[in-house]
Amino acid sequence: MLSRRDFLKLGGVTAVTATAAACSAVGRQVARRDLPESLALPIAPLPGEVTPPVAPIWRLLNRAGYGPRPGDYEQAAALGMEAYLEAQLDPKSIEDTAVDLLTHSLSLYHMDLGELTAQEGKDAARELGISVIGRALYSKRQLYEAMVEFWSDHFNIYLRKNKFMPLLKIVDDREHIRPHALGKFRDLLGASVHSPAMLVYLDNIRNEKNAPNENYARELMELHTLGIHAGYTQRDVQELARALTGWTVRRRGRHEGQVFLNEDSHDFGEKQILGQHFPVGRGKAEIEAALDMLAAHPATADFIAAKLVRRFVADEPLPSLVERVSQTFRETAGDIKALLRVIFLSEEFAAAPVKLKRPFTFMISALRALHTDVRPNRQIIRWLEQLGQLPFFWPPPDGYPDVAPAWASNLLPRWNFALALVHDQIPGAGVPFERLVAAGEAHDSQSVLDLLAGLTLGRALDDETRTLFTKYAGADSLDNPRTQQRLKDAVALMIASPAFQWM
Amino acid sequence: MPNKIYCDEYAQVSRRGFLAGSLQSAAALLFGNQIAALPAWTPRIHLADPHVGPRGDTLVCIFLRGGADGLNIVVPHGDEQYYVSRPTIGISRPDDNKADSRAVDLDGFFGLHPALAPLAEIYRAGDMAFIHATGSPDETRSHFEAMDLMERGAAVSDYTGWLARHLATLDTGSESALRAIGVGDMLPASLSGAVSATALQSIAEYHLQGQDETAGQMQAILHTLYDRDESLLTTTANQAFAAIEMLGQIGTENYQPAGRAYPERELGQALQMTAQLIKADVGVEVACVDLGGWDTHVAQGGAEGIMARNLVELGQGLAAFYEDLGPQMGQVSLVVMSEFGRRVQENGGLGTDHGHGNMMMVMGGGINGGQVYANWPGLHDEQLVGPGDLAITTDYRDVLGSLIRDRLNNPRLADVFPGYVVSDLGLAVPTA
Repeated sequence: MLSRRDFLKLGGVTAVTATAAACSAVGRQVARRDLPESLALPIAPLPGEVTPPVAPIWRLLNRAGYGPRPGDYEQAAALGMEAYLEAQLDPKSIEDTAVDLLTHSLSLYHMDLGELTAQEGKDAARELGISVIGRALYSKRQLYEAMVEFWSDHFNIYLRKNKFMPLLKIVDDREHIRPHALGKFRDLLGASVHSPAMLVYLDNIRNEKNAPNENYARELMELHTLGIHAGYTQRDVQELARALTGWTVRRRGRHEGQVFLNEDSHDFGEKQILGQHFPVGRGKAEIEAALDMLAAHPATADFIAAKLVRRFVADEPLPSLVERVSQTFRETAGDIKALLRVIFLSEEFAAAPVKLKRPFTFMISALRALHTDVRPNRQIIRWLEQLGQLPFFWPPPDGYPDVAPAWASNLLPRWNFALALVHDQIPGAGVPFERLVAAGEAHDSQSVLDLLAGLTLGRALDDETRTLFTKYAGADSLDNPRTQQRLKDAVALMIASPAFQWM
Repeated sequence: MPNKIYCDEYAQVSRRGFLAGSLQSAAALLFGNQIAALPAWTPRIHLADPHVGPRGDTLVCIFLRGGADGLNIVVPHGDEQYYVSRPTIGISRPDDNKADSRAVDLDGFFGLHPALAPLAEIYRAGDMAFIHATGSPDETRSHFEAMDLMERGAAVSDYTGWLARHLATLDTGSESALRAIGVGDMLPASLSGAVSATALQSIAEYHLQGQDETAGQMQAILHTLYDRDESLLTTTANQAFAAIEMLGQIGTENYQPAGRAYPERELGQALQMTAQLIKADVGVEVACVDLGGWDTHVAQGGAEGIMARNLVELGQGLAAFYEDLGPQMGQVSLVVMSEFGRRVQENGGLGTDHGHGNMMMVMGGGINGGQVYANWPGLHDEQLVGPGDLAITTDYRDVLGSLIRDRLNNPRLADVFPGYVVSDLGLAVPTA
C-alpha cells in the first residue's frame, strides 16, 4: 500500500525490449534510458477536498510540453520551476538522442528544396506526421516543441492546399519555423514571409501588380501581427498587398520552389501603410521595412502577448499578465524567451485555471504518461483525425483553436482512444503495463490504481473516485486475468476522465 | 489501367476516393496514396444571434463526387444538338423503339436516364423535381476548388460550410447531439465548423468500445466523474451519453424497410441508416451522404455501362428511401448535387471531360414536384461556355436557399450564403 506523498520505487527496471512490432527503434532507445529510479505522487487532497490541486510543475509539464513521462515530474520538481524553465529555454543544451535518431530515419526531411520538388507530396506528408508525433512524444526539448506547435498554428499551413504543400511545409517547418521558435518575433515573421509554403498557401503567388490579391496582406495584419481590431483599414490591406506584389515562388528550373521578387509583377510605386510613407522604387527593401513596422507596432505586442497567455495560461487571457507580456515584447523587441519567462514564472500561471487539452496534447500526453512506444502509423493518424486535430490539416489560416468550447463536444473519440490504447487495439502502440507495475512494486490492485493515477493525473485520487475505481477493479490477485482486465479498464477511465482532459 | 482512365488530378491525389467510394481519410494521405476531405471532426463556429424558431424538415444532402454528368442523368432529349454532340453515349429519345434504353420522359423536353425509372414515379406523384443548367459560378473546373466552393457556399475567404452556418443561425431549441450527421468516417466540408456534427459510420458502432459486460459499468463511472466535474465538459459529456443512448435504442439488426430493399452498396446503406435515424426521431436536422464514382472521362457508357450502374444504385436507393419513410417524407427534403457537370461533346474515349452546368434533384413532400426547373441555355456552340460546357442559368444556392428558407424554417440566408442574394424558384412549399 502506498502512502500519499510517498515515493514509489521504480527500481529494478532494466532495459526491456518490447516486441519488435510494438516498439520502434526510437522507442526502444528511450525505454532503455528513461525509466526513472522512483516516482512521486505529487499532491494528495486535503480532507474534504473533492479535487486535489495540480502542482504548478505538473501544470508546466503539461502546458509547456506534452505532459510528463514517468519520472519527468520528479526531475523537474528537483530542479524547481525556474531552473527547469531555463533549461527548456535553451533546447540545444538538452541532449535529445531519441529525436536525433528519429530525424535520422527520415529521408525527405533532409532534402533541400530542389531535391524536394522532385518528390511526392504524400511522402512528405507522411514524414511530417512521423516527425511531429515523434518529436512531441520523445523529445526532451518539450517547451521548444510546444512553441513550434504554437507558431505552426500562428503561421498555419494547410497541407491539402495543393499536392506540393507537404513538400513546402517540410521546408517551412525546418527552415522557417524551427530556427526561430524561441528567437525574436521579427526574425520569425520575416522567415514566414519568405517561406514558399506561406506564399502559396495564402495566394501571394497570384498577387501581381496588375491583378492584386489581398489574401496574404490581410492575414499578415489580421492573424500574424496586428490582430483584427488594431485599427488598420481596407486601404492599409491594399497598400500592404501592393508591397507584396511579385513575391512569388519559382515554378521551374534549377531553383524551383525558391522564393524571389519578380520585378515584372512587383508594384514599385510609392505606398502609404498605417500612416507610414514608403517611397518609390525600393523593391526588396520595402517589404523588410513594412515588416519592421508591423513587428514593432504596439498592437502586435498586445496581440502576440494575448495569444501566448491564452495558449499557456487561460482561455480568457488575464489583462494584467497580457500587459506585462506585451510590455516585455516591446522592451525586448519581441524576444520570445523573455515572454515565456514572464508567463511561466507569473503568479497568474501558478494559480492558473484549468485549460482543456487540445486533442493532440490529449493523445500524446496519454502515450507519454504510460511510457508507451509508438510507431506513427495509419491508425495513429486516424485517431488524431477522429479526435479532431491532425497537425497541418486545419484549412483556414487561423490555426487550430485554443479554447475549450471549440473542442468540448467531441469526447467520445477521446474515451474510445483511451480504451483502445490500454487494450492494445492500436497497432504500433503497446502500453508496458507489466513493466510499470513491476517497477512500481505494486502488488495489489489498490496500489496499481494509485500508481497509475500518479502517472496519468499527477496526483492521488480523491476518496470518492478511488472508491469508484476500487469497486470496479475488485480486490483479487493481480494474477487473475479478470483483475488485470479491470485494472486496464480503470486506467482507460482515468485517461477518459475529465481530470485528464483538463491540464 | 484504372489510373490512366481518370484525370491527372485524381491520379495524383485520389484514386479510390471519388471513384469508388466516399472521400478518403488523411490517414490515407499520410500512409497511403490518397487524400482526404476534412478532419473527421472540426471545432464549432458561433454566429451571433441565431434565428429562434421551430425546426422544419430534415435535410438530406447527397453529394455525387467527381462531377456527375447531368446531361445523361436528366436528358434534354428535346434539344437536337444533344444527339449531335453525343452520338455514342447519348440516351435515346423516349419514343425510341428500344424500351429499356430510352429516356423516361418527364415533361416533353427532359427525360430521365432509364436506370432512374423509379424516380419518374416519385416525380409524377409530385414529390420530386429536377433543376437543370444549375451549379456554382466557379470556373476552375478543378474538382477540389469546385467542391470546396460549393460546400462552403461562399466565394469569400470563409472556411465554414453552408450547412454549418445554417445550423449556427437557426436555434431550434434542440440540444440533440445528432442535429447534424455526416454518414461515413468524416464530415463533408459543408458541415465544417458545425455545432455538434457527428461523423457516423454506423449506428451500431457509436458507443463506448469495450466488452459488453463492462461497457455499461464503465460508462456509469464516466458519467459520475463528468457529472462531478461541474464544467463545460459535464454538458458535452451528457450530450455524448444521450447520443449513445439514443443510437443504442435503435434496433439495427434485421431492419425491415417499409418499401423495396435498399441497395447493398454504400449509398443504399447510408440512406437506410438515415431513414432509421429519422424514424427514431433522435433530432437529426441535417444528414450528409457522399457517393463517389462520377468522374467518367473514359468509357462512361450510355444506357448501360459504368455510369448506368451508379445510377441504378442512386435510383433504387432514393426510391427505397422514399417508400421506407412513406408519409414522413412530408418532413424530409432531400437534395442531390455534384461539383460540376461535364462537357457537352463526348470525347474520343467515349466519356466526358470536366464541364460546368449540371442538374440537381430535390425530393420530399414539401417540394413543388412534377416539374423540371430550367431556363435552358441550349447546347449549340455559341450557347456554351468555356471549352464547350453547359451554361449556368440557375445558381445552386437558389435551390439550396429555397429549401433552407421554405422547408427548414431558417430565414437567415444572408448568413448561410454570404455575399449572395437567393432568388425564389418557387421550388418548395413554405412550411408555415
